Amino acid sequence: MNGTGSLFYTKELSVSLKERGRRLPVVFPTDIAVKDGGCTGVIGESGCGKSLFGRAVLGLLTERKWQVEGEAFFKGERLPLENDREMDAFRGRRMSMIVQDPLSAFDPRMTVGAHFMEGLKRRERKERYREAVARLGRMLLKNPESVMKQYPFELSGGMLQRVMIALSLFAGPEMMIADEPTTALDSTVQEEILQLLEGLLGEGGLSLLLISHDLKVISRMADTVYVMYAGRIVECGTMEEVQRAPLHPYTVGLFSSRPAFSKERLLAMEGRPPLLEGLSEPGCAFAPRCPSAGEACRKEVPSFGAAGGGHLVRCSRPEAWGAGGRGREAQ
Amino acid sequence: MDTVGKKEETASLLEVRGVGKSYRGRKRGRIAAVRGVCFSLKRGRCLGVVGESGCGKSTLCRIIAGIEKPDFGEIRYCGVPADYKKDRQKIQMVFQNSMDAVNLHLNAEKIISEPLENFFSMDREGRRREASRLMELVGLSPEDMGKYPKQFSGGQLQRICIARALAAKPELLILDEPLSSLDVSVQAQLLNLLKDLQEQLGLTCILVSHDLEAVYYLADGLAVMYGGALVETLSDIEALSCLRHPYARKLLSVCREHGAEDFPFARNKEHMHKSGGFPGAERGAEDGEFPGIGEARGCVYAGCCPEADEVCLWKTPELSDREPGHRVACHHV
Repeated sequence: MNGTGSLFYTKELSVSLKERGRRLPVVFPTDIAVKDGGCTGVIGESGCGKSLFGRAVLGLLTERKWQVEGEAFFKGERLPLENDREMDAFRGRRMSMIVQDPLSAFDPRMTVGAHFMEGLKRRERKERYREAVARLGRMLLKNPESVMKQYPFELSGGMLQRVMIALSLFAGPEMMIADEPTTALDSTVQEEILQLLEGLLGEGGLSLLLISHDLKVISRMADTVYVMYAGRIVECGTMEEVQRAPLHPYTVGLFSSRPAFSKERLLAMEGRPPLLEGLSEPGCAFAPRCPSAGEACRKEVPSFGAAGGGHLVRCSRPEAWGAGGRGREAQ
Repeated sequence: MDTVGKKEETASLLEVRGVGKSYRGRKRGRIAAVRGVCFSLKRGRCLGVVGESGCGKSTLCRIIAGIEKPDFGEIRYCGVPADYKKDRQKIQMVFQNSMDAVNLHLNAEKIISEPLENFFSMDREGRRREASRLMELVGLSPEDMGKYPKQFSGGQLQRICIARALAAKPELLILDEPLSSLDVSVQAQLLNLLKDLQEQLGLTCILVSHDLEAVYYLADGLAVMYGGALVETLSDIEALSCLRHPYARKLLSVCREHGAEDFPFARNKEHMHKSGGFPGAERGAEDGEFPGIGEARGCVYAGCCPEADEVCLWKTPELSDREPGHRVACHHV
């Protein structure tokens, strides 16, 4: 998708792992765009490179281990991904991040309050404390003052996730990268966190890059969706379009493998995603699991083909699936 | 085993009678993890247990499997009090985190043949044959028997755990969150596998999960737990939309977010949105434990319930029959 004009977009951003002098590509050149005030979803299974991508755009990957190439633009400005210090102007201030496991994101030796106060001079603290309490209150935490005095391990996962959202919003970022924000939470708590994020999207003027493996979360929140498989975007388009008529066999498989209050046998995809070493093999990475793969699929990686209305799919035989797809969601 | 299964179809295989368990709290007093749970399970059926984390579902499983001793109450197996020296073989369990549930220094063959050694005193050749049969049964290649747990993916290892549980030829299989922490496509494969095994072997199952949709796919009956107590049970899971307990309805409406229009309780959702979240939910969350835990009186859900009144605070609702096969513990339905 053409990203120019979006709040944030990447241009051929790729990540590879440096290992014993070799370079193993993990995320192939990827273009992703986030609209101003919109929510872009990246969906894929574990190991497909979606989290890595999220970390790469914030320059969080250590240079010793990872090689990040390509460019990312935020409000038309090129992000200095190669320069850690210059990235500080963006990281946390203009783009923030929340992660999957809230407990490991906090310092276990510091109270929640201390996380808000970190690096402040004494005279600034009172002001900050009041502000932090107010913000925690806005995250629908009932008793913000006592939460400020507690240690991370004393709080439940849902509460910690709220604290993390409050913390990440403190410097007033315009965009947030949410890496599996609800995976570790109960379904009722999940719902509460999603409502909270929804509120931030609407009134808060925040844009969201939502990374998740949970179809339900993505389809509820995102307006644009990118489906990632084995380090490549295999399908993208508006959520509505992709949900109505998924074209890539992987997307179709993903939709149909979720039980949806039915006793009908699930159309499970066989096999599993390729390992890291197998990513650079020729041919479509999904071909070994694909029910309609042909000779051509095993020879070269298909390029993006347009299916109308900004709906792109990386499959050499989208016609084999018919326009409606076979996803249950599509019916 | 099959013929026996048919003959005794009407009799309960498992009966849980008023089982309770509490642990010592952090500061003082005791925290009730399971409080007075009663249900029975017929042979060949699969019961789904849903509830949020910390509601005592895993403790209940461990009690039924004989890993924990209940403080009070009794587990009856085949009509007599369960004797775990004798019945251990017949009640097997699959745990949530497969990596923690196996000995990392044993290979797949040894993991699967451990129960064979313990219960059936098979010779080495027989064990090997049986282990490779079980590997095939759960959809793994017998050639991988020499591999160690670290060499398997999460989904494959969970299959090995299922094979190990099946090796003991159990009658009752307890599945404690067997699918969480697995990928969507792997979950679907395992769900299909479990369904096939249920049909092939005529297993009686207890499936514990927080994923209502997965439970719906596998289970025949449903039990909803909250704060250590059963708040609602349904003998026919397909009648899901007649769930009455406020917590059960909330759980269902969350899971059914997308198709919510066609359900009568969808209106309840407006109620939730208005107050910017679930009424009272914070109180429960903020205490870090369920409201009212440790207190013997009152409904476990009273602190979070939009319909709670004074009666709920001092009187514990009994799990009572509303319709045949449908029991609810609530004063207001």
